[in-house]
Amino acid sequence: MEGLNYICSSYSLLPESYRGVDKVCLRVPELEKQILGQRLRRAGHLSKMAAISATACLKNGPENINKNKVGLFHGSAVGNAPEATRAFQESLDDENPMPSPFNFANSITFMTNFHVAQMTGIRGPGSLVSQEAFSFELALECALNHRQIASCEYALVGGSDSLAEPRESDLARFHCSEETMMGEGSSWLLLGRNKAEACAEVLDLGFLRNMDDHHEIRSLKTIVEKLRGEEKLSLMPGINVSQEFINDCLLNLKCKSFSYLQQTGYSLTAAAAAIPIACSQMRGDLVIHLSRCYKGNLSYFVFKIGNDDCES
Amino acid sequence: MNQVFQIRGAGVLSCYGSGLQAAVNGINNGECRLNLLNSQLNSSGEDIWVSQLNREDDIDQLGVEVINQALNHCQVRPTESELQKCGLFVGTVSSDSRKVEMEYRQKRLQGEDPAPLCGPSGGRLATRLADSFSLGGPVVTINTACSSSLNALYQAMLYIQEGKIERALVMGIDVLNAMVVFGFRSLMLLSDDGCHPFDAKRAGIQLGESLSAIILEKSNTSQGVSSGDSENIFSGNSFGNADLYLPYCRNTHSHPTALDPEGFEANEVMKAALESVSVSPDNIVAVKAHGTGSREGDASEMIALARLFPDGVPLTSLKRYLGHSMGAAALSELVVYLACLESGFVPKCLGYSQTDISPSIDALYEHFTGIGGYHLLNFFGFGSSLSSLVIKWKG
Repeated sequence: MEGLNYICSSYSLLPESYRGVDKVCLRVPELEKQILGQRLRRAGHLSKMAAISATACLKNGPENINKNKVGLFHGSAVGNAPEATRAFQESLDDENPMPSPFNFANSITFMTNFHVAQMTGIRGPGSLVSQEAFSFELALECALNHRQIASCEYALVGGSDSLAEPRESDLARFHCSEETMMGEGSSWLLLGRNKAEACAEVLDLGFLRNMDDHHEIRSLKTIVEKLRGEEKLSLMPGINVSQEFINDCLLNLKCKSFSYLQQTGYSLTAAAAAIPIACSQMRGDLVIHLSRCYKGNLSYFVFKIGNDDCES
Repeated sequence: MNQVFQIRGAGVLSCYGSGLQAAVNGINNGECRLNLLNSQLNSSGEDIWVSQLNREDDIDQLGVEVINQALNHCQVRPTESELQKCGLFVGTVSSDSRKVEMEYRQKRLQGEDPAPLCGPSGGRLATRLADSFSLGGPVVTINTACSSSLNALYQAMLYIQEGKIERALVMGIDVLNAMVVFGFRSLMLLSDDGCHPFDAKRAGIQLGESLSAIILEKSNTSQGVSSGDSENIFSGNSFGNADLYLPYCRNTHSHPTALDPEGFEANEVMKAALESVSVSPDNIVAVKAHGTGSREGDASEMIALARLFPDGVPLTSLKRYLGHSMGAAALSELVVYLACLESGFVPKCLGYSQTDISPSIDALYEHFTGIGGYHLLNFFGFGSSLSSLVIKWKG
């Protein structure tokens, strides 16, 4: 059985303005009507973003796929932050601790997967990974691990996170400076087993744990050399990767750098947007994406973008 | 041939106290540990009945304790170098939430105006626990609501099957906090007198809290013998008699907080789990249901069971014993169920006397002792995440 390495379509729902946290919020009602064809009354903000983005991704993919055999793998580090914050405050009210059922139900991050499954009609295996800065990468790895699972012919893989208000609370929570451009959004890939349907291909994904910069660069060089052909190599540095490390990569890997965080803002699942952005802007390239968790461990995934159209 | 997995060691902290034996003793005696939610968590003044650990320890201390139990339970304790290549898979809904709530309350008592949800996100607990034992493999926190720890087990099995790791520490962790207790109360899902699985007088769930941990490896009787390990690491271990197969997990989408009323989805998942390991319903010796005591959920599961086992099957639920510990429930129930099998019985369905569901089969009135063979275990959750697991007990 072929692996689930082929990217059949991708889609990103991203902020239009980084300072204006509410820009995605403002567009959601319109996108619900436009993409979903209905309002999602019981869904929280993150669930709405994820359902819109996942539905658009699936619509861009191959026709007539068996939705009973599409898996759903989602990474979200903080979940439905606005509703969870309200449920938290309502539960700790000394006089009458009683969260609204809407806020409580949406404070359970997995409810996002329910709304995505409901709107897309998919019914395969799936999971929700909540592992801080590696939530998306691990969700992608969980999907790739379904290589031998026959009930998973395709896999929708996404990364989504939402911002709480006030903005200052998120800055403090993630130890970000006042200048940090925070972001929220939801990005999805549809992975399949058929190369003929693919516009890109995931070639490798891994984690370098407890290494110093020197050993990390050496490892990355070995990984890239094995995969590199005639194509251009591009580096997409994700969150928590220092400029100094990027410079070392450029020098040692002999590649150009493409900074996409200006388009996503800082979010723990920003990495999910890398492939959709690359698909629309870096055709024909071999791309390596890097990001770090708070402990300093490095994640990488390498993918190759085809030359054909790839909706994103 | 399907990949078979085994548990090298296990531990649990439950309302019966610390360890598998404490839980088995309580269950064997038919004890229901239902108590009033302590005042530290309950600011409502109302009586809320739950099954608590009654421990004041920090969540990290509890996590370390249950991991040590699992390591000490191993016939051959994993070496340091084995642990360095071991992954950690945690199923949890609440993770650090109680700690975050306590800090928030403390700051308010000190006259501060703290930001809500100011702590790190849910995966940090797993990272800290992995660091405590120098685990060098992947660290993955799974949140699929009440089926979280079963999903963590499933993902761990796939990592092992794909050859990315040789062993995994799988955990279920959930302790009660205000948001969960009052959230379930706001949905009017809590029972005033505890859980009565499948019973005519069932009126809701009985919240609980638990932590559980297992060391999971490929069975040395399955395809692709685990390399580098001695052949007897499972012999003499209490869970060496249990073969675990890859569970069947599925997202459905009938309702965000309930199963479909006709039981079609639960029936489909159970059937698929059995088909995936080529076991017919006739070969199932007992079923551990999800059985939360909720009106709709139990009805749906019972109808699905009655269709799959029209002639009946020894049926139980552990929710009145252990309470429903949300994301930890699946793994805690699995290890306690296996510990009961090791003691020679499938527990009776405590809290059940007569059902009003149609079609239906009877649940167990007494402990059942014909335990050798295949068992089917159901784990369902909010957001329509359904999973069924088949195990073979060779004792």
